[in-house]
Amino acid sequence: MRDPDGQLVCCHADISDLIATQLRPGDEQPWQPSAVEMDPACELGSAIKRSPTNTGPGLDDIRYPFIRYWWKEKPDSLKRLVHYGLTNDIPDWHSAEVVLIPKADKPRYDIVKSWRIIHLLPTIAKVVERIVLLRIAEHVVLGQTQFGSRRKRGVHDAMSVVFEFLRHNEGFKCAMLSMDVEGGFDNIDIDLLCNFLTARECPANLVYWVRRWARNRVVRFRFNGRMSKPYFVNRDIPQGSPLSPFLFGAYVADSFEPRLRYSPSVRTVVSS
Amino acid sequence: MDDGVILVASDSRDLTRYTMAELFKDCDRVARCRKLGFSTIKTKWIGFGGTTWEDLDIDGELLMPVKDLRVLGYRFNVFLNMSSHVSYWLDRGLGVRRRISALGRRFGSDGGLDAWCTYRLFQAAYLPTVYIGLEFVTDFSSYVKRIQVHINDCLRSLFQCPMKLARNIMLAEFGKPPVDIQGRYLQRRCYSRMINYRYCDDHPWFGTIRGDWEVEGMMAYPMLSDKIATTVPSFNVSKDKELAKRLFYKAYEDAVLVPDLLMIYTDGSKSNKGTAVAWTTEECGMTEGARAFATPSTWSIVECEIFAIVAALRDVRLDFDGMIIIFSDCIPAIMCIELMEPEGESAGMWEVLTLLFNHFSAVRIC
Repeated sequence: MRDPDGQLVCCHADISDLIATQLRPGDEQPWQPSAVEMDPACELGSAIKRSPTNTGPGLDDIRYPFIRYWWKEKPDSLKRLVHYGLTNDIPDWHSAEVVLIPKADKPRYDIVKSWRIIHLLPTIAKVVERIVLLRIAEHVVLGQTQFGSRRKRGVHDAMSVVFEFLRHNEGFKCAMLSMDVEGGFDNIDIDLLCNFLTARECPANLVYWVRRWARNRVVRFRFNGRMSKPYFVNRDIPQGSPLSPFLFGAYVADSFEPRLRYSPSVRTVVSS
Repeated sequence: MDDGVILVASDSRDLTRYTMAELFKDCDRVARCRKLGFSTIKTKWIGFGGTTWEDLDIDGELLMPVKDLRVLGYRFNVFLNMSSHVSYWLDRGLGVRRRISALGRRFGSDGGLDAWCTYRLFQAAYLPTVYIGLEFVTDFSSYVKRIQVHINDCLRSLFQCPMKLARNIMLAEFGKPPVDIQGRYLQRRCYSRMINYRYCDDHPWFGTIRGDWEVEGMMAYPMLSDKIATTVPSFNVSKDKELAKRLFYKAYEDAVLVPDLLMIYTDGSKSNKGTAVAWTTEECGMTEGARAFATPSTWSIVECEIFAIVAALRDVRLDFDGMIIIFSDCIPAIMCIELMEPEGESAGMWEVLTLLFNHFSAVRIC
């Protein structure tokens, strides 16, 4: 791996530090237990059902089949744990093992930006995040032409918008521009995100939950068969959480909403 | 998720380019306020309708148009028209068909009449590629025909026998002929229709439809839950002119007395010279407004009538929470709205119609 100055970095600890700069780690913050009022986790069954079976476990090494088994055998105890986690938060759920996955079609892989930083979070924490996702998605209204990371929307929905637009404007001079957001999950400002959620009528307890969820995260990098020292992150949202794509969508929603208005002879659509 | 598409159409190339650049800059400006941004390195654009597009000027940086652009896995090429694009997308299905055949050959299959795996592959790989991949064009009957022909070719090729024989054997082996499977996918036209209504979540009318598709034999009816029953328009359709007249006068009398009642009368007309629509709006017995528009001559009378309803509703202020009664003399148009079926190829109007319906709490169409 090479640092930004082009110097070769070989030591495991140094490479970890280099990768950690992407996440901009901070100092360890003292854990301050704080409760937030949350409804009972009625969506637990649905959240477990939606969870995939083949994803990697977090540091606790508990996999989804075990959660399913638990849900089948002792649903009450699981419900109690999830409700406790929702309201009071559990420090261990903030710990993630981070693995690196190479991004496709990069000319060189000796720089950190060519690797995707994926957080392997505890599976039970991801179930709780799915519950929160369901609740937030119920309240937060995103644009009609925003398709990414939203339930019941997919590539074909986005394509149908493009198709309908081209079809509807046959005879006009049509053009299409494809653009890509620089950065992404690593550049999300949590305070701004919470403000956007509030502006989009997300209930205050869920906004507080998101703020709490994004803080006090501990990550350890695993590569070359070894685990790094812990790094403390208090910003951004983890790539690998089921909640992150939706929050990212809410964060960038305004960027994809056209504000400019033209004469009736100009028709525009901005989709994402 | 982190990429976007800007589509612009206008009557001149320069205007289109200018608008697109302005929109891009606007999106970028907002993204930069969020510590993000759109990189011009990864930005590509394509101009349709000829290849003589000049460069796009984004703050002094010139972006050349590309001839071939891939968006979400779908290819757009300046040299192809929409029909050719559909052919290209169908060819992707052809690739899957060849791969299924190759897999069959590798495992010693001469055809696949008795190959359960061929059936599964056909169902799991080919149909989703072709039908689901192209369901956004299934509102257009000419494309549906082509897709159907493609599927039939695939069946013949994979099972290496005439269609009827393939169907009979499948029926005997699995209790389900392939045509049933195709029919099931074709019902996804309802999906396309629902897209025109712009999605379940935004439109509570359709909140329960998509869940139903998980059920075998997908049938998409406009199902209603208790929660949203009040927002659904009611329909009175009658061919009896006397009855319609009585309804009209009754509503007119009510309109004078009841302050929160709005009456809209719409009409569309079609002649050899063209088509036009007109409507009047009356509140408290007073005519609030009357407007008329010429519409494209290709529109049918039903389309005109629907457009008149849409345009009249658009004129109503969005915070109006009283009862709206719409009178129309075109039964097919009312039936279309009631059954939620797109008329011809003008499905885009439905989107507007539904959007507007969602703003009003009580609409009655007579």
